[in-house]
Amino acid sequence: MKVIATYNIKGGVGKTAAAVNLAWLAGRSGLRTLVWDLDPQGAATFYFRVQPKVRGGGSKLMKGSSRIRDFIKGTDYENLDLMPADFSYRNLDIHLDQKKNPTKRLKKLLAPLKADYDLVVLDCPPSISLVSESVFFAADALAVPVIPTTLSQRTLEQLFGFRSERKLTGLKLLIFFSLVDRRKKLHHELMDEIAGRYPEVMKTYIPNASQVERMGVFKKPIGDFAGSCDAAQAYEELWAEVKTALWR
Amino acid sequence: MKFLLEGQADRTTIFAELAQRFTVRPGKPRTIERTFFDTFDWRLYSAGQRAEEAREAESVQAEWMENATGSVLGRMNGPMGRMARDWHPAPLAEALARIIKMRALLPLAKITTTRWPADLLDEREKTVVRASIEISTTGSISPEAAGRALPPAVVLSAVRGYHTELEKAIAVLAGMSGLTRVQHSTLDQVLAIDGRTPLDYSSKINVRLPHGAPCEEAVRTVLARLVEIMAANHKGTVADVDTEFLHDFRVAVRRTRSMLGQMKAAIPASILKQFRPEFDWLGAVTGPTRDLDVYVLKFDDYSAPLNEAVRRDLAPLRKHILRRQHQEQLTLSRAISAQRYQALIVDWEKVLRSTWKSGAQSFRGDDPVEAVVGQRILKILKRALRQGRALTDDSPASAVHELRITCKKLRYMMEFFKSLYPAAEIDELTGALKELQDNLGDFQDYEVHRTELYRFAEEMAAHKTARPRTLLAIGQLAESLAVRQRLARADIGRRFAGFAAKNNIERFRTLFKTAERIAPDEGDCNL
Ligand SMILES: Nc1ncnc2c1ncn2[C@@H]1O[C@H](COP(=O)(O)OP(=O)(O)O)[C@@H](O)[C@H]1O
Ligand SMILES: [Mg+2]
Repeated sequence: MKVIATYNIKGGVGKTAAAVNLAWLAGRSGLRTLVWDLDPQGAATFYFRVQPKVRGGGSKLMKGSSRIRDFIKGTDYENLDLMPADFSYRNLDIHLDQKKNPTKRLKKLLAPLKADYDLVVLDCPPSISLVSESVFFAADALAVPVIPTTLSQRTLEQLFGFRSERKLTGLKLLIFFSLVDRRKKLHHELMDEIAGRYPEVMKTYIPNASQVERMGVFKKPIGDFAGSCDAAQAYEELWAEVKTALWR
Repeated sequence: MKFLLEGQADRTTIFAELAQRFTVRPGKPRTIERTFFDTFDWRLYSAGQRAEEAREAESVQAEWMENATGSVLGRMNGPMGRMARDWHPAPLAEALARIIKMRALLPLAKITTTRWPADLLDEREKTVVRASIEISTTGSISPEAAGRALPPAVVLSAVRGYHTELEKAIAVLAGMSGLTRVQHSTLDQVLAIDGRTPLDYSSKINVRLPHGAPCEEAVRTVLARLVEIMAANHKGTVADVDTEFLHDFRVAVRRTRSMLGQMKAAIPASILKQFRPEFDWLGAVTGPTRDLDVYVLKFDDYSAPLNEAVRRDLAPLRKHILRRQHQEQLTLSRAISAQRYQALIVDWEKVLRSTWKSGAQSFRGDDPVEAVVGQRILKILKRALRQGRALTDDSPASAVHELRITCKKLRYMMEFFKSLYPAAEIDELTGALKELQDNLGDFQDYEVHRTELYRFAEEMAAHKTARPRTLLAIGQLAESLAVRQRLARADIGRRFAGFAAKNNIERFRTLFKTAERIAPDEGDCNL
């Protein structure tokens, strides 16, 4: 089982869009895939039309990670399941700081799912919090969407700094450009410059496209309602790169 | 979850009934040609699973699923992957390989199904249950069973985490007249129509011998079972469907030869004279291919400790072994398709059908089977102990080989006559023996495979199919096997001591000692 997290300290950069679309493509390729919605806002949960509230609730959920399976919901797609936002909210955000070893918590929760899934996609909330530390520890790779701006270099520096500080050398960083405006010359210049500096930058970028926004209207991954549009194709290419990086 | 439809229930009424509780979103009806697959020895069925190839208009998909519920474990575009390695992506291939290992998936049965699907949605428009109405007719793997209609069925499948909704849907259908809930899967239904019994093949001996039966009768019963196993595997061996047909075939031949050797006291001399050479021949013609099969099966494991560059340089060796395997397989297929084999089997089956008699003084065919078997087993045990105790660190590989052969004879005897003894006892003793045998087997495999590398290297050099770097890589592989062989060798002492432990041998003696007094030179097991 491989674990990949979509991650960026900033919100609104396309983390959830990437998590949902990459997971959908993974499931379609035959990998048994779980999307774990770690963001209390529950955007990924919303895209899959799943009721955000889980039964039970409170700290009761914490006891015995073997019951974790009971909270997973099948999506409308084969090979693609979802852990709703509420579960994470109750289990991670509130309780992480009370636990002795919060960094290892998520990895522990994931362990019993090894036999069930080939790929787990963690959709992270923005901000560096205990949750994100837990994510860094649990994941094999981070997929990092970056909007090409003059500030994005700083974001990347911070990320690399964080990785070496925490000695997470095995953690792969898969950086890709997101919300790219093809007509903006500046975007192209910045992308060239950053890609030249960091070999971790993927070849594929995700264009700014209204079809991605419309995922919210259809409540579906883009491939299910506009599979042939440019943005859907971009996600397919990105998935091909991510897949190779994960199972290399 | 499956319901069979009878009488007045039809699609419209069923969907209308479900619509009272769910939003029913019907899909387009689809006609699918389905072929069910399993390994020859039913590995999927035994695990509660099946594989299915679904053809529909232009598209074809291979699916691996739970048999009872139809819930999908893995799916890929394209026709059925015959071997686990033919499936993709890699994690799917690995998961399937954990169940079917090196066996091929073979077509079991065919049906054509027309399916009217409908998603049942909750108030958020989320699919919470999948329903479909299915009408199927059997296809033509066996002509007698073709074109038969299966009773129409409603199938409900769960979406993970929506169990309550599934229960609701089940309750709706259960409340309708003209529907009955059933447990069996479509595969079970089709097999029943086809007159096939699931799990009808096993390579195990599985015979029940009556206590105190005349020895010759017990021996014939086991031998008849062995020839049945040969016959069952003959076709797959000739066609080289997968390596295990030959494996099971060959084990049955070896067991037969072992029986003819160990139990000769209960077999008339004329029969031994006629058939022993024939089964020796069969053993000889099946040997080379099996050896190469084992080499191919172990190749990845053998080369795993070497670094990537060396592994790459070994690719021509693997190709060479595959080519040799192919040649030997052709020779084998020809040999066992010929008259000599057919005649052997026909004659042998005939000989096994009638009681064996002999005027010879030494003939013990009429003695109670336990008496002869017990004595024999203790004698082989004694030999094993003698050979094992004589082993030192300096003993040649041939001495280890001899111990291995003796242990194998012992094991076969225990398996042949297993049903005469308390199962728990015999299983435990077999377990202790197996520990030792695995170790001896590894040692022997390394010995043979390491020496064979020199032959392969020479052949490849002669055919100019190996560049120097490949020859060097073969040298590294040989060295690596030598290390593993030494490790296995170092372990023999410990394993043998475990097997030869006083209480273990005491248990052997208690289990197999016979009422009859055993001649002191034979019976004293030197305990
Ligand atoms: N490539 C894109 N083109 C256009 N809009 C996008 C694109 N990616 C994301 N969006 C929109 O931007 C908003 C934020 O995206 P989201 O994936 O939720 O970001 P994050 O998870 O990083 O907060 C959403 O409304 C989404 O529809
Ligand atoms: Mg988000």
